Amino acid sequence: MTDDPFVPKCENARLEFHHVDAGYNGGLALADVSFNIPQGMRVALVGPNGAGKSTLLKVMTRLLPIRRGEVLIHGLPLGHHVDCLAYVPQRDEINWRFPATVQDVVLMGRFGKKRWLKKLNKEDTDVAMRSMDEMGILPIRNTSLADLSGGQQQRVFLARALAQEPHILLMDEPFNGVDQTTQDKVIEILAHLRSMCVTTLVATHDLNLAAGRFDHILLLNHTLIAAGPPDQVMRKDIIRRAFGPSALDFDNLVVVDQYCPE
Amino acid sequence: MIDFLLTPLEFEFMQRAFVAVGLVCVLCSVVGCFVILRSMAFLGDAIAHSILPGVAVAYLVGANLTLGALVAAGAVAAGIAFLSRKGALQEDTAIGILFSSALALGIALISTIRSYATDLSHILFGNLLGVRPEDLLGIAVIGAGILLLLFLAYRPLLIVTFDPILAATLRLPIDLLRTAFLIIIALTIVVSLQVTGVALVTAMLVTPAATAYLVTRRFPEMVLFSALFGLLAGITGLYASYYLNIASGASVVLSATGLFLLAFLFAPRKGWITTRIRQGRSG
Repeated sequence: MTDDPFVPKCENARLEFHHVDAGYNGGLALADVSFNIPQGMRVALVGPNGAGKSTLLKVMTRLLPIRRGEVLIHGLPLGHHVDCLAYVPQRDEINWRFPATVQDVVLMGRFGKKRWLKKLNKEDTDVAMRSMDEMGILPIRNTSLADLSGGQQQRVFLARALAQEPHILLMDEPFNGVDQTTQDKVIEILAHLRSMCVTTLVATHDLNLAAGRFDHILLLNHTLIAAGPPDQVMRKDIIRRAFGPSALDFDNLVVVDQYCPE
Repeated sequence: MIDFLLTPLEFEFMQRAFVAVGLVCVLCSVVGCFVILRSMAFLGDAIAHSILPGVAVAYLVGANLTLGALVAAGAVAAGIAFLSRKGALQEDTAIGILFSSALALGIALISTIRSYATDLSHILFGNLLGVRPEDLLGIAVIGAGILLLLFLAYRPLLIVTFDPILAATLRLPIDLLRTAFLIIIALTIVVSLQVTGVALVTAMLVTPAATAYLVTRRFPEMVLFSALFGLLAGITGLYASYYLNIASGASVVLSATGLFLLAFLFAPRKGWITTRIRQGRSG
């Protein structure tokens, strides 16, 4: 990525939600959500369990259709872009029995740039190698997927997302059940992507990380409660509005008592 | 030893049987790799059984058996999709209902034919020794077509099997790929009819692929080994059938099972006994 000719210009509002409704079967999981994200921001998507964080990411990957409203990337509706979006899945979304090595998985990140029958070339392998190196998994590139620890698995899929060279990177709870090394790597890579002007949208229940490591917060509870820089959003009155009775108030400190996602 | 191997080949019908079993076993084993990784073994079984009424109707009205089989397979695949749409029924429940009904309907229809027992057993268990030259041509042409299709759609099928979300972000035609794969399964089963029959074709779709899964670490290797194991099972099974005088379809399937058991016990990384020994050494 270092000597890549692809150096995006940072522009304003390259990801836009306009009055988006979405949901499963009968109910609405997201109602009337609107926001603008300038290109290159690190965005944390926070909110109570079942607030629609994963739903919002699913809408962006087009796994879930939009009921109303529209989502624009670079001013174009979803579906007009082939490969500008990369998604790092939660671990239960992957078929772990699949026989593949770390390198096989990371190379899949290059398939989007190829015709169905076109062979991967040296540039593709170089990008894959660089991505694995950045995530510190180059030494285990020939290991089977099934033999990895949770944190290593997470880093494999992050490396694959890097190999896609996306404009927008989506991550669903990347800090869940991973070791410290992986958590540090993810945070490091978020900073690196910011310098590359890649927008990152990370769903997390970790309010501390959200407040400390991100440029922009989207606070969600079915509808958008608040959006803005951490110091404006992470105020106790706003948090209490999103989390309701599970937010405990200790003078200047708000503790959100909501043990664990899923 | 050489005589042992060459004697069966003196008969022309045995030569044809060997070619047919080789083609069908390789085909089933390759398609089977995708089947087991997508957890579609039960669906494959259902399609195989649903072919029975189609074949029976075609037989009764004197139409082309392959065509009858294909129509029935398509109808059941669509029926499963309809019954299990949006939370109406679990997919495996829908499969269970349609698969046993189709089997019953097939038997009901075939029981109206006078040479009931022989015809039924040929459809259920195959008639490998009765393969005609034109059957062989049909198997070869359709088999080559299926392998070509798999080759062309290899990468998208790989992605859809491994990670459907990546497939969605890459805008792959997911529904089209699923339908195409169902058609591939149906065609594979139809051309395997004469070799293994309706009842045993699932074994050839699942067992060699599962064996290969135990001994390999990467998907392309798995496909290659699956094809080899399928071929080996087909040929040893046919020899066993000749010398032990047992039904050929059953013999082929049992050979495949034997290979699977060997791999299950002794596979270098995943074998039951090998892992015990390794644990014993390290502990």
